[in-house]
Amino acid sequence: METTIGPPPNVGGRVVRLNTSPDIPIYIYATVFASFCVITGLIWDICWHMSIGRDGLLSPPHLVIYLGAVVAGLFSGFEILRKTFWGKDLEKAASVKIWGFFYSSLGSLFCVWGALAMLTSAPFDDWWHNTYGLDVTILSPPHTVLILGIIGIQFGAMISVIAVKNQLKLRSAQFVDKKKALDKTLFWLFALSAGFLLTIWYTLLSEELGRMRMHRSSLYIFSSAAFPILLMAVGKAVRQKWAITAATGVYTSLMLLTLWIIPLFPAEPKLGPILNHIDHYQGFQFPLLLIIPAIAIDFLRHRYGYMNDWKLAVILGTAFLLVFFFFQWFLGSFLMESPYARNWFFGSHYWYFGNSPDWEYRYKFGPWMVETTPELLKGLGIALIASLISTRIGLAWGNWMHKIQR
Amino acid sequence: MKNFILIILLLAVCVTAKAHVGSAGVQMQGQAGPYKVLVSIEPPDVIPGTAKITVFVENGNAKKVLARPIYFYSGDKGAPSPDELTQVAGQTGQFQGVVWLMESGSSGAQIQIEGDQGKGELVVPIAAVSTAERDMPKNLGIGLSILGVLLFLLMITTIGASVSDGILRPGETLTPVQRRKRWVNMGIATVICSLILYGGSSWWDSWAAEYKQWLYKPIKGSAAILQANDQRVFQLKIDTTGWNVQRRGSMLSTLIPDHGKLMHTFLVRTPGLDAFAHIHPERKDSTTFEAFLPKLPAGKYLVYSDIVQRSGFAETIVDTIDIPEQRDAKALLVTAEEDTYVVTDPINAPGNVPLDENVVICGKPGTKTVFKDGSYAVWEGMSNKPLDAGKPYQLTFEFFNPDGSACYPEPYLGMTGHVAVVRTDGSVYIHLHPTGTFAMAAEQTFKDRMADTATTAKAPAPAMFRDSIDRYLAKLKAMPMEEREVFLMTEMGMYDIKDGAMTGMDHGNRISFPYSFPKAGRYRIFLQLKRNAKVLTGAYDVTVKDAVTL
Repeated sequence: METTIGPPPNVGGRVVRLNTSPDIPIYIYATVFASFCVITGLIWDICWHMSIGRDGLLSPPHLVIYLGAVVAGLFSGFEILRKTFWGKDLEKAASVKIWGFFYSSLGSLFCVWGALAMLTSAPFDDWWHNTYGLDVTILSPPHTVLILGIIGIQFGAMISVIAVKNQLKLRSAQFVDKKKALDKTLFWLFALSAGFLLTIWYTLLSEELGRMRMHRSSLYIFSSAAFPILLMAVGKAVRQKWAITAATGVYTSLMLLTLWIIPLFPAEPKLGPILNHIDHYQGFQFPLLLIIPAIAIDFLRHRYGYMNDWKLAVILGTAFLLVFFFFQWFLGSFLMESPYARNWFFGSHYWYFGNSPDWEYRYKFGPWMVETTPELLKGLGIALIASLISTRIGLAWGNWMHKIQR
Repeated sequence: MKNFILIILLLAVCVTAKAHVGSAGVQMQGQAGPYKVLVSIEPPDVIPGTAKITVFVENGNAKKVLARPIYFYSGDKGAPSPDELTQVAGQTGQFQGVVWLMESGSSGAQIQIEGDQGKGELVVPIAAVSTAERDMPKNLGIGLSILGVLLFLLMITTIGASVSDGILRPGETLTPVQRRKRWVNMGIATVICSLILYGGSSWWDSWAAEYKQWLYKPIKGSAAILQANDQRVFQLKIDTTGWNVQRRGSMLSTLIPDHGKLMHTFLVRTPGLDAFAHIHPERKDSTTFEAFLPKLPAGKYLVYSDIVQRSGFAETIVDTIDIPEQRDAKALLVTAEEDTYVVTDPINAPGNVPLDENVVICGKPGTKTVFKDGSYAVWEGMSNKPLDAGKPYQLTFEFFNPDGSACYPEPYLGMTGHVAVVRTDGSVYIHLHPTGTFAMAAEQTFKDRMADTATTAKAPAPAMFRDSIDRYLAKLKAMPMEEREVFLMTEMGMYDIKDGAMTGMDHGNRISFPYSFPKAGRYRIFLQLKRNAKVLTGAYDVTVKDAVTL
C-alpha cells in the first residue's frame, strides 16, 4: 500500500491475501455481499408474508438475512481485531482509533454496529411476540432495531467502498491503468452498495408507496423527503458522472429481478383467513421510476456542478419532484387500471392472500385514493419543500462521504 | 425498592381472565369417524399466537393426525391446509402439534385422523383471546440493556470518528480543533440518540397501552334478587358500558342457545360451597335475564352465567349475590322444568349437613354418593390422592339404581350428564359435558360454518336474529320434556331417529367428563344426572396439587 506520506507497503508478511484482486480487501466484497443478502432476504420475507403468512425464526428468508448479518459482522469484526492486534503501523495509521484501543475502518464500525443491532433484535423480537402477539406488522420496535441494524450494515458497506476508493487517489501515479480498472470496480461496488441501501430505504416506506397511492400527494411527499437525501449523497460521494443513475439502476434491477424470480416458486397460504387462494409466491412491487429523475439529476448536476450547494439544491430538488411526479403519475394509472399491467412483468395482479380477490378497488383508484386538484397542488407544494430540504441535507452528507479516507 | 423491582420482573404472567373462568384449556372427548379421541388444547394467552394440541387416539392404529385452524369469519374455504402433528415418542396413539390462531374470537381446530380404520375428523372449538400481560424476565432485561448500552456507545463513538479521524488521510493526526469538533459532534450525537431512544420508549409504551386496550375483558353483569308474589326471582343485568369501544356492539342480540337454553346460571353458596343451583334465566330485554329461584337456603352466592355468541364464542359472567330467605314454603314457580338445586355439607365441615328435602352428602373420589331418590353414583378410577394440575383427566362416574343395578341416565338438556367444577375461592369455574369443556353450541356453530360455502360470514340483522332465537326458544319450551330431549339430541347429532337411540356418545351407566384442572387447590364437583324424569345432583370434593416437574 503506497501513500503520499507513508513508506511503501510491505506486501505479504502476516497479511494473508485471499482475494484475486489484491488491492481491494476481501472484506469489501464480503460487506457488499452481506448488504445484498439482507435486502434480498427482506424482500423475500415480504413475499413470504404476502404468500404464506406465518414463519418461524429459521424460515429461509430469515436465514438469508442472518447470513448477511453474520458475514458483515464476522468479516468486519475480524478486520478490526486483525488491525488492532496484528496490523502494520501503516494500516493503523490508515484507521480510526476508538476507545483508545481498537483500530478499524469507519465502514467496519458501522457493519459491526449493524450486526450487533440485528443480534439484539432477535431475543427482543421473540419476547415481543410472546407479549404482544406474533408477527403482524413490518414496523414494531424490535423490527425497527433489526432494520436499523440492516441499514447499519448496508451503510457500512457503502462507506467501506468509498474509503478504499478515496484512498486510491493517494496512490502512486505509476499504475495508471490498474488504478483506472480498480476505480471502475470500486465504482460498481459503490453503486451496488448504494443501490441496496436505496432499496431498503424504499422497502421501509413501501406501505406508503404502493400503486394504490400513486395519485395521492402523500406518495410524493414521502418520496421527496426520503429519496433525494440519499440520491444527492450518492452523487456527491464519488466523482463519476452517472453515479445516481447507476445506484437507482441497481435498485430497479434488484426490484425487477426479485419481482420476476420469486413468483416462479410454489407457495401456499398457511394462515387464515385465506380469501385469495394461490399456489405460487406473490411478488413484491414494481419499482418506482426513480431512475428517470436520477438521469435528469445526473445530467443537471454535471451541467450546474459549479454552483454552490444552496443553488444546486434548488435546481436538483425541484427537478427531482417534477420529473418523478410526471412519470410516476402515469405509471400509477397504468399499473392500477391497465389489464396490460396484470402479468409477470409488471406484477399488478399479485394480491395478499387475506384480501378478497374480487374487491372492487383492486384495479381502480378508490375515491379515498384520489384528491381534488387544490388538495393535490397543496400536497405537491409540501412535497417540493420536502424535496428541497432533503436535497440540501443529501448534498452535505455527500460532501462528507467524499472526504472519507479511512 | 430493589425487591419491588424484582417482584415486578418475576411476575411474568399476571392476569388470566378467560371466557371460562380460570379454565383456559379445552378438552374434548369425541368421535372422529371410526376413532374415539380425546383432544386437549392449550390456547395461547396472546393473540396472534399458537395453540398447543394433544390428540389421544383411543382405538385403532392411527398413522397420521392432521390439524388446521378454522376461523368463524372465513370458515372452511378460508382455512389453511392442515399440518401434521407429530407422534409423541413412546406414547401409542398420542400426537402433538400447534395451530396458529391469528384472530381474536371464535376459532376451531379441525383434527383429521388417518389410520387402519380409514379416515375421521372432528372440530374442537377454541376461544382465542389475549389475556396475559407480561413483564420482561430479569435476565433478558439485563442482557438487552447491556447490548443497548453497547450499541449506544458504539454509535456515538462511530459518529465521532466519522467527523474526525475518518476523514483524515492515512498517517495524519487530529489537530486540537478537529479534536474539539469530535467532542462537539459526539455531544450532539448523544443528545440525538437519547431523543431517539426516548421516542422508541414512548412508542413501546403506546404499543403496550394499545395491547392493554384489546386485552380480553370479561363481560360484567350485576345479579339481584327481586320478589314476585312472595317468590324470589333471580335477575342478571348485563353491563354494556364501553361496548362500542370494545367492538362488542349488538352481540347480546345475536346470542345463541346452548343445548336449548340461552343462559345457564350456576349459583354456589360461598364459602362452604354447600348449596348449588343450576337455573336457566330467560331474556326479558336485551340486557336483562330472569329466572324464578328454587328453594335455595339464604346466603352469599357466587354467580356464574354462561352465554354463547353466534360465532360460537362462549363467555361466563361472574358476580356475587346475597340471597334472602324464602318467606314461606308454598309451591314455588319454576322458569324451566330443568332448573334444579341441591344442599350438601360445607367443604370445610364434612358431615355437617343442614336439614333440607333436597340434600346429598358430599363424596370423595372412589366413594359412593347417594342421591335423594336412593340411587347413587361412584367416582371411579381415582384414588383419594390429590390430582395434578394441568394434566388432562377423565372424571368418570358410575350410576346405580338403589338396588345396585346399573342405571342408565336419561338425557338432561340433550346430554347424559352435566358437571360444574368450582374452586373453593371461586376463581375457577367450568360447566362440563361428557363431550368436553366447550359449549355444545360452539361445536355446532363450527360444523354449520364448515358446511357453509360462503367465504366470509355476514353479520345478521340483530333484531331479526333475536326474534328468530326467541321464537325457537318458545317452541322448545312448549314441547313436552321427553319430546324436547329427543329434539335437542337430534339437533346436536347425538340421536338417530331410525335407531331410536343415542349415537354421539357412549350410553352406559358410566359417564366420563374430560377435564384438566388449571391450578392447585381444593375443588368441588357437582354432578348432575337424570333418573325417572328427575334431575339429581351429587357433590364430590377433590384436592389438586401443582404438577411435580422433574
